[in-house]
Amino acid sequence: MVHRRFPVPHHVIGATAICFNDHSSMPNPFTEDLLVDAGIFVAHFDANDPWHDAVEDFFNTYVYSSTYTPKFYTTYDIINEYLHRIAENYKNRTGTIADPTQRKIYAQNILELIKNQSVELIDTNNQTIIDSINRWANSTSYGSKDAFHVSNMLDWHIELITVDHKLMYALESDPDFSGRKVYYPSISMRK
Amino acid sequence: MKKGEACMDKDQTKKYNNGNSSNEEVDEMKTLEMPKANLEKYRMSEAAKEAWKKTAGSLTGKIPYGENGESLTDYISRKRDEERKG
Repeated sequence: MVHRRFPVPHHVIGATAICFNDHSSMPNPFTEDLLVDAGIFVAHFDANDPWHDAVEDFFNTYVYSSTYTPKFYTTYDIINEYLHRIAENYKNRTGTIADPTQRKIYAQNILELIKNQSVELIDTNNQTIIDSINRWANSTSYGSKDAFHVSNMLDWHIELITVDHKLMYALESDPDFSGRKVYYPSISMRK
Repeated sequence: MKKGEACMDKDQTKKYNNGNSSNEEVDEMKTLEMPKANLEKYRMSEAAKEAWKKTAGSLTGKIPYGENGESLTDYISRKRDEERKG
């Protein structure tokens, strides 16, 4: 069963969306090259996050207890978004700028994953940047961050794992992403 | 990861098999549906796996929420949506 909040279009023309909590439709071992979106990191790090249980269900099933696992990739741009938004969120909620003590706490986790090659960084070349700018310029569905993140899927032939359902819907209806996959959490596991 | 790197397709698998003795042959019908050489790419090191385990929940209580209970993931999604509406 695939969990969705909205009706599924009958003629999906873009990326194939797959609920990563729907274990009956997921292969095990799950070996895929995955681009890790910023929200996956946040949900993984914060047990209070509404997507934490869904994301940990994924890690428990396909990573922690498996010999063969997905290979995780991310970009400088996604990490930049993570650092930018986590500090901005802190300032907006507390009224104070995140000082170095706070920033180190936020940086430590992502550094741990990079240093241990739990997630590998992929490079962005000139063509990816040109493609990203054109994708943003020609689209009413993508913001600039979306455009830069998802262009890497095409350039590197990798799939996306995200908690951003609106981005998933945009990819599903974009013919450029036909043949690519986007993995998303079950709405029913959101707390 | 090298740019353009991709799993072997069926034709490449046949070429691989043709160049190897029968006992080294890659079986396309295996449950794993992937030549062993390629499957090894997906063996995660224990250190990498431990880092995922260690960081799970490591920022719990350290990320402030909005007055309406908005989480950071929802905040990021909202900010992206504002960008989309530009």
